[in-house]
Amino acid sequence: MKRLLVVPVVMMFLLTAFVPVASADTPNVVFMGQGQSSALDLSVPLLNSLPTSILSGILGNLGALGKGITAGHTETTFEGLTNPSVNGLALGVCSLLGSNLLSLPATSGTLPGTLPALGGLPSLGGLCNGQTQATSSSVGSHGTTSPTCNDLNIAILDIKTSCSQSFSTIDGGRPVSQNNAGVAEINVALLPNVLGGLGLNSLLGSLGLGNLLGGGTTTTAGSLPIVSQLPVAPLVDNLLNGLLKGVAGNAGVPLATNDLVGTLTNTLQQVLGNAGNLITIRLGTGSSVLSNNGAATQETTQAAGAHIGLIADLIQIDVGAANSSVTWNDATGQASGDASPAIARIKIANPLGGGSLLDLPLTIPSLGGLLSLGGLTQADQSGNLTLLAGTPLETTIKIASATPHQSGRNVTSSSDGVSILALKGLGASTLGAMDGGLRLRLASSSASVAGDILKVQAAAPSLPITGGQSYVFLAGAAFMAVAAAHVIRSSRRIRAGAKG
Amino acid sequence: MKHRATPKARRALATILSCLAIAMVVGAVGLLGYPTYTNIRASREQKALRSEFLTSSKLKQAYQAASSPGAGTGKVTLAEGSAVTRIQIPRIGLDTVVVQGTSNQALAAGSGHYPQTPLPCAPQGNVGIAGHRTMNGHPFQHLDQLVTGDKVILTTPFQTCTYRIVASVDGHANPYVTDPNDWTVIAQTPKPMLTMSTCTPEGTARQRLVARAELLSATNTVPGASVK
Repeated sequence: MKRLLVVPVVMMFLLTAFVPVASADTPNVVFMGQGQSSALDLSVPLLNSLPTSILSGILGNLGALGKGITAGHTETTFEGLTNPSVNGLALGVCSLLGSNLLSLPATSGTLPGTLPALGGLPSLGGLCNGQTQATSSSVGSHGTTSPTCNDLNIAILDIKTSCSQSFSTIDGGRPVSQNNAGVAEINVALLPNVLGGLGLNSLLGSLGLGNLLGGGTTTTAGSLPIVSQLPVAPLVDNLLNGLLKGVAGNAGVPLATNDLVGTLTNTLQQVLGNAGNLITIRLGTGSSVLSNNGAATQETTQAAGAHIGLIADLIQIDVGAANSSVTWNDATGQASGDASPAIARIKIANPLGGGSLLDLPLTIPSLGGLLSLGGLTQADQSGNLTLLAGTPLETTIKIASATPHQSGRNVTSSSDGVSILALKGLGASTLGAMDGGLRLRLASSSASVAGDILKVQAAAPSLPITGGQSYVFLAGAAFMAVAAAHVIRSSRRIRAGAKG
Repeated sequence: MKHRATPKARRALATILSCLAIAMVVGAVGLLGYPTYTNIRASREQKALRSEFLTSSKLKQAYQAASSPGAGTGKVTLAEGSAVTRIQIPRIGLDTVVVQGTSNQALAAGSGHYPQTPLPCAPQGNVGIAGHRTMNGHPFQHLDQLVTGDKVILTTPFQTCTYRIVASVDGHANPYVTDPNDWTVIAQTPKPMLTMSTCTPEGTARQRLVARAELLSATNTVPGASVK
């Protein structure tokens, strides 16, 4: 009986001779993407034009922040080569960072690429340690940020940040990530006498106007007793000393206290209350959510708006949420982008109470009308308002803009709560470049996906098979005939045994 | 301890084995007869194709479209398995109708036209035809016997084109043996050429035998035909 088992085995072997070799192309989906959101990005390339001694004199130890700061920052990077090798990475920072210190490598234009590895996070000293990173290469791997971060006072700036959260995991062979940049608040405080200390009163004094409204104490830049008498951070010392040394060298400069500016400040505070902040900026969250439904991966970002209060909230600008999203579709190997702008409003409060004097939608065209400066103000279709175009003082303002941009299979979608690129020609890297000045982005987020479908040939197709393997049929027939004879003999033997 | 089957069980087993033996005999006969069956099937298909070749309006439209201005090298879409041309090679006694396509199903008729190549009689480019060397009517069984100067005649609804086997192809003899993945055999050429391929050695598909011919003449068979 065992020998009979050989028959079906041989038959199966013969049948394989007729199974054509697979030659169809196998689609292999590959994509890489990146999303990031920040509550605040602030950089001042203009400072680069100052001598190093002055820069360090002004910023002191904060010179390490270099060209700018970032608060409440999240990033996520992901890739999908094939479902089993989907990889994701998320990073959340709940702190202030030098904006030049942290940036995940941009996704490569070459696919399939390799997910960039994260090095160690930059050391922030004692500023804030609320930062984590998470790499997800398997189910359940995720990370979150720690929830605390200290406030920071830089001269007249008071910056408060809450934390950002970052979560990343792999679900169903696909990356899932959620990032929320923390709320940040920036106050530009009307600290008494600080502005006077910047030299305005010395100017008034030199003009013989220093004592018009009181005050009589004078000092020199060398000792700056005025500063030491004020309840401000030591950083102000650095700021004032640096400025004064830069302007006047080591020569003594007479300063007046209790001056015109201080009086005006006090008057304003009495009228408007004790809010005391010249400018207040409160930021909503910038979020980045990477999700999937099994066939498509979607990266959605949101700049959740901002509130800007000027002169103790006398003038208020509120920016709603701007959304941007990109979706990667496995079936088509294409990405698509979408973005929706937020609505911004401008309000002028009634200082006597009883609601607003003015409450109107704020758009770039209307802002352009307000800021019309002859032919030097331009509002383009992208919602950018440019002032003093073509001059070193060129300034571009975006409010609640959301823009998807598609180039081939690469899609980028971004949204900004408020973006101000001011005085772009000052301190630029090269003459004529527009990368200097002051750059501020509030509640910004962006998402990008680059992908493709690679056709992987399982096997090189051969020219048509036109040589029917007739010998296989002959051999198979002969074998089966022999096997049949053997089976017949066995059958007869068994049947004879049954009779006997 | 050895168990001995009951007589009833032994009879049942013997019956099963007898049935198995009958099935094997039927299978052996089927295997033995399959090559012959493919030849008979190809022969029957050829009869139908000859009729289709003479009367098919779609085929005429395809040739007209291929010869229209801007048609490039004459690549057109014809239904797989439909008649494309009649091929005659006097030296090896070949006279068969070639169908469109080179899939297993299409080649069951014997020979097929590579769909990625121009239609026969194209004024430029390389016309490709694959044919069986064994089974399925084995039209290209004796392709290896072609020599330089042998005539190959392709007939279309509008033309009769005579090709001539060339002495050499890319520096080597013609016909020649090449790798089964060598798709350069149907690479396009500036001159009007014809390439025929089949499997070799006979009865296997290990390699491919290729014969190439150049267009010698084209004669219109229908007055006023638009084909140049």
